Amino acid sequence: MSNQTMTEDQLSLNSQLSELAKVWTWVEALAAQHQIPAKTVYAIQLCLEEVLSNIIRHGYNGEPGHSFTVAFTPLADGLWSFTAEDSAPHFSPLEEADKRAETRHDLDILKPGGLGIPILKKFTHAVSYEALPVGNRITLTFAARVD
Amino acid sequence: MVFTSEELAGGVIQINLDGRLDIEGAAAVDLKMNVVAGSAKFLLLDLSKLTFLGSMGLRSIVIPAQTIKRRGGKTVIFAPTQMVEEVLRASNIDAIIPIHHDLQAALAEFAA
Repeated sequence: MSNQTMTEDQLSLNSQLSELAKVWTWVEALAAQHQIPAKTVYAIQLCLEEVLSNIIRHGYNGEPGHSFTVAFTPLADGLWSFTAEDSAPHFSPLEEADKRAETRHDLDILKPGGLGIPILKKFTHAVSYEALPVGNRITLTFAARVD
Repeated sequence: MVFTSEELAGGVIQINLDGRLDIEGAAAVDLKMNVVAGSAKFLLLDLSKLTFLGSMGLRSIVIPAQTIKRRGGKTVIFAPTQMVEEVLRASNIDAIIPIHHDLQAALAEFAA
């Protein structure tokens, strides 16, 4: 029965890191439904972990009780997008990445918190940020990875 | 996430990570990793059974490696799976923590 059930295209989450476990099972279900290759699933989980944990830890400062959403959209030409929307103060992770780039070559000064943004650029087909009137929207687009 | 450690010849501590080093996995191993890093001089991280490495998991690797380096020690990553290695290289970790797929070459790093 569960194999025949269409997976919801949007997930609502509370601002707690433990909520992210729901995302992995949701992505796995979407992957099965849309024939997303395993390596692309890895990339999706990797990038969603970065984006969604940033919303919880930085956007909402780790405070529980806030909510945000992540929505899935299958696109044409073998692309899939995931859009996260929150109501946290404006924060563009892409601008922050540029500020941190110069600290990535020395173990002594490497900032572990800045490690995730290069991952977004490497493992997505495209990534975009939009400041909403209230909150933030970040869209990650993935292509099939079969290499 | 399963964490095991063993002492090899030459004072090398080998840590084996088995499973997903995502947020949940990182929370499970961070304390253990930091305890080992508090006393080890040479740390060999066997990632051959690591099926997923996320950005929070990268912190679990980098912070102990920083601790060890500050005491004059060294960390080497051994045998990551293809996707885990892609994450390490995308993060430029390979530029500061050597990655080897040959055990003898990995251990030779500690003698260098």
